[in-house]
Amino acid sequence: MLGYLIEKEFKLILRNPMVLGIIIMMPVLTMLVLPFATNQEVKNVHITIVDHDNSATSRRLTDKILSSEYFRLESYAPTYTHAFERMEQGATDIILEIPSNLERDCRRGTPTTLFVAANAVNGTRGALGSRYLSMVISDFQFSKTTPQLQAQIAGKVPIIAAEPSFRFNPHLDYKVFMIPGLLVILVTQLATSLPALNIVGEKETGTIEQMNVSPVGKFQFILSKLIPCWVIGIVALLLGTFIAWLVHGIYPHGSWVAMLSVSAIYVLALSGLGLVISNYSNTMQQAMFGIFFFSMIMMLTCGLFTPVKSMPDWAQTLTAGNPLTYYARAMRLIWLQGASLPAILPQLAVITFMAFLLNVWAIISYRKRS
Amino acid sequence: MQLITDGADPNQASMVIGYASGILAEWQKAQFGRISPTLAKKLNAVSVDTRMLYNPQAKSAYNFVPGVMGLVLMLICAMMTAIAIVREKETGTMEILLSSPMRPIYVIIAKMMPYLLLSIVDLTMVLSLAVFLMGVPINGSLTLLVVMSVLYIIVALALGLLISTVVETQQQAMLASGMGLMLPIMMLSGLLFPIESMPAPLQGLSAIVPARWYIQAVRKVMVQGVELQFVWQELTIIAGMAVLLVAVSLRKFKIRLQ
Repeated sequence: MLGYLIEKEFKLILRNPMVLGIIIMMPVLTMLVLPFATNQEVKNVHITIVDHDNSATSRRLTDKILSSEYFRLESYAPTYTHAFERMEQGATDIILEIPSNLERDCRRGTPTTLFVAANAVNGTRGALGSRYLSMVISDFQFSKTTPQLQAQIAGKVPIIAAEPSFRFNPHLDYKVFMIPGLLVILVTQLATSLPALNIVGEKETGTIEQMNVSPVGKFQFILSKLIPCWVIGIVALLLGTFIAWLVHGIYPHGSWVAMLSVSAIYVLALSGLGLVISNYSNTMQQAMFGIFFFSMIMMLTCGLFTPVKSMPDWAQTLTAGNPLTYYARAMRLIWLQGASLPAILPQLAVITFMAFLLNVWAIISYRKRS
Repeated sequence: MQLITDGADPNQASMVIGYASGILAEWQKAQFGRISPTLAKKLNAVSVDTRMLYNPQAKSAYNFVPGVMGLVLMLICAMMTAIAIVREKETGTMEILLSSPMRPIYVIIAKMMPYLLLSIVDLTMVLSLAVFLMGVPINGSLTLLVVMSVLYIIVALALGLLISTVVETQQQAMLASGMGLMLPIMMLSGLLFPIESMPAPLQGLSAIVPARWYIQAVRKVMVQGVELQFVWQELTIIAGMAVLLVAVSLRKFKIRLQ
């Protein structure tokens, strides 16, 4: 009997052109376009320079700053007030004010201060921007000291050149970091909304009453809704992975067995959530608002886009109950760090537990009578 | 010397490397000072005084709260009105409405009004949560913020109505307004990912996302506390979008059923 039910579900899904379109277009668009957008890299920091000195030294300094890959000159401003106005307009991210006696002070060795003001509304951008700037300035100072002075210390003090090496993502490419995250989002959206829309759709068209009077058991009914969604979720995941490899050349470094098993259970868990939501809603609008509410909160707090460690304590506690946190962690471990099945067992265990809980809830909350 | 970091998250990695190499450089300067005081003096001559404006503690809430406001308002409003007309199509009451002497513009305005009031209640809630729970100050003028938000809400409502006039079933309306809007707003509005870091074609695409302009303006008014003269551009764009969307949904509003 289950076979017939599943056949019916697939026929229903394939008959609806919009659902079919979403199943195919979502993975394609997500993986083609979004990896380019999901880039938190700090570059093209717009800088406004207020140069009161206008000497050879100050011009060499500004040249050095502008030749670095991070900065892009917004404009030269005559005074700090002018520059600040540009910042209020949102045109510039960072202001560098050079004092009027920079060249003289540099020659004499008198202490002098450069003033840097960074727009820190976006904390990361402000902090990284001003850090890059002070790195350039201190490099500049060292290059300005005379060769005789540099010779004095040669051989006596080891010159330390810090050579950073980045494991797992050597070129610090944001796509490498984000593509597993985007797959997580893709699978989450499909897995929650399809079953919910499906059951509520049957409620609205009235066909659910025929299901209710039939001898189909609760368990079989829920299973017949789950299995097609599960297949679609996995197909979307594989399609997304294929596009990631084809277009961006990024593929999971870890084991496929680990990825498929954690995804399979995760899709079950989230479809269970979708079913629970749809069991409690009578109209499409209610179901969609429910899904929207849960998926938005889960996506924003799961650590995909913002590190969990930088959240306030109460939000960190909240993430512990969020299935996405575990799935996102597991997917990143598999894709970037090359984890195999044993390495993601803790995540797998939590997701399995959640899948069990949500689906039992879905079966219990499904009522044959309205 | 080699510094080995977990580079999975590029920004975190750069920050950590920045801190570590800063410490190394300080140590080296101290070593220079022991051997050649003149060199150390020269090196220390120029210091940098860095000030973090608007958000000295680098709280991420200052950046995210305006973004989440843009996301939540747009989705709630669009999802409410997306149902409005298509539901009447489905239940069949549309025929009665169409055969009445009402002009389409009145139907559209009447459809928007109750939702506009509801959305203003939402806005009040969102703003008080932002201020009292998340601790984001309203540094600029509250009036300006409210005017901007109401304009933005009208854009969202009109977008929902447009979806409603185009689609045939409630399911399509919900899918288009829920899933169709959530991803573009999350990814292309500058909520999570700075627009400056995107390739040019996507920057162009983000210009048609109303949330981008709203989020940008809210960040300026709430956090930076600027005056009207610095946000009139965003304000004009949002107002333009509102007019355009109402006009298009009016044109798409079919006065006859198929």
